[in-house]
Amino acid sequence: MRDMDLIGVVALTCLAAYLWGTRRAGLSAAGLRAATTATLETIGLCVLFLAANLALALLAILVARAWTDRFLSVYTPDYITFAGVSLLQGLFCRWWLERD
Amino acid sequence: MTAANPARDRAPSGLRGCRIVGAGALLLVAVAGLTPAANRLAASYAEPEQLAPSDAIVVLGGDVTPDGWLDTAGSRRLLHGILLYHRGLAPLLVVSGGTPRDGVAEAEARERIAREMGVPPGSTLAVVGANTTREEAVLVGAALRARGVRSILLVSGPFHLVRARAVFARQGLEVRAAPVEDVALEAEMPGSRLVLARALAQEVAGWLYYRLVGAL
Repeated sequence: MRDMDLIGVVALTCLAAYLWGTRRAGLSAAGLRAATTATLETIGLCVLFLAANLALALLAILVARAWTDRFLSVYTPDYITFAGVSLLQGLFCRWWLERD
Repeated sequence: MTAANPARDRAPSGLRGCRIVGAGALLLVAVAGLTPAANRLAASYAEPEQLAPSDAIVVLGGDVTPDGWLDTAGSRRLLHGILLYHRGLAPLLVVSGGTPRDGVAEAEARERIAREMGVPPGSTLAVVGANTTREEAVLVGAALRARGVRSILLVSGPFHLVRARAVFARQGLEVRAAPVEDVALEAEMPGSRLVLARALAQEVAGWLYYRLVGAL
């Protein structure tokens, strides 16, 4: 799928969700600004968790290399799984802040 | 007026920072995935091919499963090295790799494959015991100097070769790059561009680490 196709599909589903939200679900257009802010905050939290997780994993590898005979490659951690888990951590943290 | 919730009062300043990080991350992903920026950066960073007759072909390690199967990058590198050997670019094919794990050393697994693909036993050299690029340079460098080898064709990924070429040159070898793509450099899809950007970031981080520890 080309870039413009991708952007077009996403734009269409965004427009459909906006129309459904404002006309059917009774959501206000003004609420979009708050939703955008909350989304950016959540993504930011996910990125921070990812950075912390990766830093800790790399530190553990370097410590294991220095203190044991066992060699661990920096490519050992499953980075995709780390990204998924960090996403969950970010979402969880954001909802916790929202409700506390 | 209700009593202030301390946790609620503290949250906005921290979340404001998260907002900036989130916006930055989104922007970065959009630029990396939806523009040719990753392709251009990759093209300018990648080590260019410098094929010329040399004393040896050195194929750098990747990874190997316990039962002796090479990973995709390692397989590509080995195949490229074998093809260069069959083209007559060097009389010796050197393979290296990590220490034995469950009885299978990567270098030995590679050497076995090279022989099965027509490289004569006397034309291969397996250097066992190197786990990192720097260790490969030290061990292979010593083995090659003992054989009087002065120039090598170094086979690895185009980003990894930037770092690898420098550490092998420090061993007193004349190093020519023989890159083999382990990630598509001309990525056209957003997903492929993100994979390319990640591979590039990973290798730049490796290069910075080697600079930091004085390996370059």
